[in-house]
Amino acid sequence: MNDDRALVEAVLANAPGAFERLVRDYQGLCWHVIQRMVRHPDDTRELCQEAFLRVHQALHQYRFDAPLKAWIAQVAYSVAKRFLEKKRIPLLEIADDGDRVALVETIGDGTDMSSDHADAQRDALLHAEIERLPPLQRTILTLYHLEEVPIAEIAGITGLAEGTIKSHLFRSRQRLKQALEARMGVAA
Amino acid sequence: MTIIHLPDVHLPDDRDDARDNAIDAREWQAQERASRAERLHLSDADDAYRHVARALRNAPPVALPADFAQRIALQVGAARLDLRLERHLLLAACIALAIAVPAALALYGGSGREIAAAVFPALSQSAPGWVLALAACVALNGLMEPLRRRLAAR
Repeated sequence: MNDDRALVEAVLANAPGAFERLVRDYQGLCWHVIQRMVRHPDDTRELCQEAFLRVHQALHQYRFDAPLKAWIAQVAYSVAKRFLEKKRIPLLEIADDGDRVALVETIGDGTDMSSDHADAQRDALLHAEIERLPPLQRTILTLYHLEEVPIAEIAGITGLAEGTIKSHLFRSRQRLKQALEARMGVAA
Repeated sequence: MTIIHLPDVHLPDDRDDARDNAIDAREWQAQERASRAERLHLSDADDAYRHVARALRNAPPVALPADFAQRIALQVGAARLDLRLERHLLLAACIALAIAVPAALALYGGSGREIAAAVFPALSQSAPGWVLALAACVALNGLMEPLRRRLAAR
């Protein structure tokens, strides 16, 4: 939190290189949140840029009541959410992705494969299933598992209740497990 | 099997989920155990949820240009310079106006008012009042700005 404060104060004081450092520190987080929402790399790049410009504009409103990481993730989430709303893409609808069929069809039944090959196929199947999840669930899973953001902070980022976040986590992980078992057997 | 009923949710985004906000506690524990094992590289819990947790920690690579941070910082710096220039130009325009108006009045005296009254007879009666009202609005807006900033900062 002290590091957050020092960085924010340096940016607000227009210290040379401070904002560049902030962007460098949080560009991965921003990318993960936005990419999981919108999926397309070009849109993600553009929205990352927009998110950081907003961060710069609104940084004086940051009150240190949550980690800077959560505050920036919230800005990124709201930028991506608005983008999806403009495109009329529902946050909670399963993705209809032709690529996924092609990817899953390439996966065999796993009976006579080497362990590495089976691992690679299992990963490919899971990534295809993750891509099929609704944008909101993909983002919640990414924040929780990849960015290790606690449930309470994810609730703050998305504006949803903690119980709802937990429910999304539970159902989406259960769905991924079921997809894995259905395709590769219970031993998966 | 223990079922935890999560509280009802009233946010618009959650309407579709409210009907099935129930979590199997044992399954939830299995998910969390696998997630923790994967995070801490523990050898236990090598089941399907462990594979799920592993996949979830492997996100697509960040595909931003190497100089992304530098470019954004430059863009922000340029915008700040533009804003500063705009403020200076606005100040210069206000000063020029403040000098030009008394100078014009001194040069042309009352003849300007007579011409305006001839062209806009109806306005000439009420114009001073409107000018005063406009000035009051501008002054009030200027006085409110610091207050607005203070409220926004809370």
